Amino acid sequence: MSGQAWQVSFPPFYTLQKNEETRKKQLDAWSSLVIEHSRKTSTSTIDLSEIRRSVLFTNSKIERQASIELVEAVFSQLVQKGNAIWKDKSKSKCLLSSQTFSSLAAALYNWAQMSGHINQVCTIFELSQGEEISGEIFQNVPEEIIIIALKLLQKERKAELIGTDGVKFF
Amino acid sequence: MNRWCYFEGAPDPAERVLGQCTGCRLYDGDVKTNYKDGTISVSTHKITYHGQNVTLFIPLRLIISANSVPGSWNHSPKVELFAQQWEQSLKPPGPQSTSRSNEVRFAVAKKRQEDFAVQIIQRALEERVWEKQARQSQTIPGILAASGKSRGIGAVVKSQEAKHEKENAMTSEGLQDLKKLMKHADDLAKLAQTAATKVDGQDEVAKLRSMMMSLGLENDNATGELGLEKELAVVCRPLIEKSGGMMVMEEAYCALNRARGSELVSPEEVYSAAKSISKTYPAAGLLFKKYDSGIAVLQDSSLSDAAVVERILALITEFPEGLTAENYSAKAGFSPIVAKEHLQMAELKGDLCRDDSSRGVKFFPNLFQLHSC
Repeated sequence: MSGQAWQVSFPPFYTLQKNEETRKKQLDAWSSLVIEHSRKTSTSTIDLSEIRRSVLFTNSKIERQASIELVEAVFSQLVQKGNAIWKDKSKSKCLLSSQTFSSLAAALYNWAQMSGHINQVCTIFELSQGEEISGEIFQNVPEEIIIIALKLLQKERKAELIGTDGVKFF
Repeated sequence: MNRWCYFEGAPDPAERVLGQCTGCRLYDGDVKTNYKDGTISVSTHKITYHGQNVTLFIPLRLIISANSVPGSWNHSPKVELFAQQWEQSLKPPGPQSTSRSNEVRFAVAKKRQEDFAVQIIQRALEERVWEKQARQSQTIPGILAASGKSRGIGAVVKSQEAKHEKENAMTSEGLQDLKKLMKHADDLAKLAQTAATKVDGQDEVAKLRSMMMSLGLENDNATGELGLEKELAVVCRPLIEKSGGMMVMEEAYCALNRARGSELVSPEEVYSAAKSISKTYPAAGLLFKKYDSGIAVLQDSSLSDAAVVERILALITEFPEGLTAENYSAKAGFSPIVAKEHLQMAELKGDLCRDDSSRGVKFFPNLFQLHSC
């Protein structure tokens, strides 16, 4: 990793901190590292035990590896912030997005309104890879994540998913 | 049958005949012998069989026990004696040199005679008159000259009896002590009663205090009401200064009682005195503090948490690899328990953060906090 964050070589970074404020700062730092890592490796589905063993959570130089409880706390925070959702009940895997799902949802609806796609059907593929959406924050976002953002809109009755591939904005 | 020997000579002058049965027959084991219709006489020294033209005897010292065997329609009642072997060197000639059994049996003519004979023999065995005689006149030759020490099973039985007697004596001695103690307790109970009656009035507290002093529960008047607090201050102050400003209550308790030597005070008393020491005796400059983990300490009242943290932060620069409770305890002179408490306190205040790895818990300055400022 180039431009490594200072925390990476700080041993307490790998232990979940007890002081609430300290812990919040620690988890914030971890969250941004995780998001950066997923952007770099273009992975959005994350297995917690796998990522704990990866270079992200392990520093062999100072012989530290993040504790399980720390990794769980990092991803719980990401879920809480709206950057991730659990893929299973046992919380061993999650789907991670660099933008929060709600900001993606807002951007999608805004685009639909601005580009005259209200009451029209779009494909999920279009919303992720289409020419029309170039420059939008959801460009190249995995379809899986787009669907979750659209589900948020569906709850607000601003969109309706059609099958597994399409959506209609209201 | 080889226990029986021919009797020749005169009876011992100290010997007394205790009883006789007539019409007796000797047995060799279970087998009848021809020694019949004789008289068995039991003396303090021996059992004698007077036959028609023969006299046989067994000295009592060989007899271990005597039992009676009641008769039946085809068996006469019998007396059964267990007897040791004769000492080779002392054995006079006898009718038989071998025996079918270690039991010496003789039959009596009439019912109940067997019980009577056994009773007499047992009494003679208890009295052991032959032995006393032998001790007094060790030079007398013959059977009674056997050394004063008894031998074989008899000796074992005797030593057991002696031991038993000694134990009995000791027990009764112990009970004597207990009686003395109970007498003392009586006195104490009376004192308590008078105390109770005296207290029944006005000025109860003062009176109780004076009673307690007379019982030795309070040392002297000079220390007054703040006795224990003052003692704590005197005893613990130097120790606290030496150990970096605080000591755990357990240490304080031990130190206080060690200084007292006698008239020890209970942990509860020390605890309650310490708890209030900053209010009741501020001159001591001591403060009682209970940490979240449950440990309680007595500390210098000028030693605030902020001062502790400041000291840790100054110290921690010497440990770029992290500061353990042991490091800190060694450097600052606190006990490890107190050191750990201090570090955790500083952590909770946000001045330290922890590194919990396979090498144990180490503390670092809280860079998370410092970097965000």
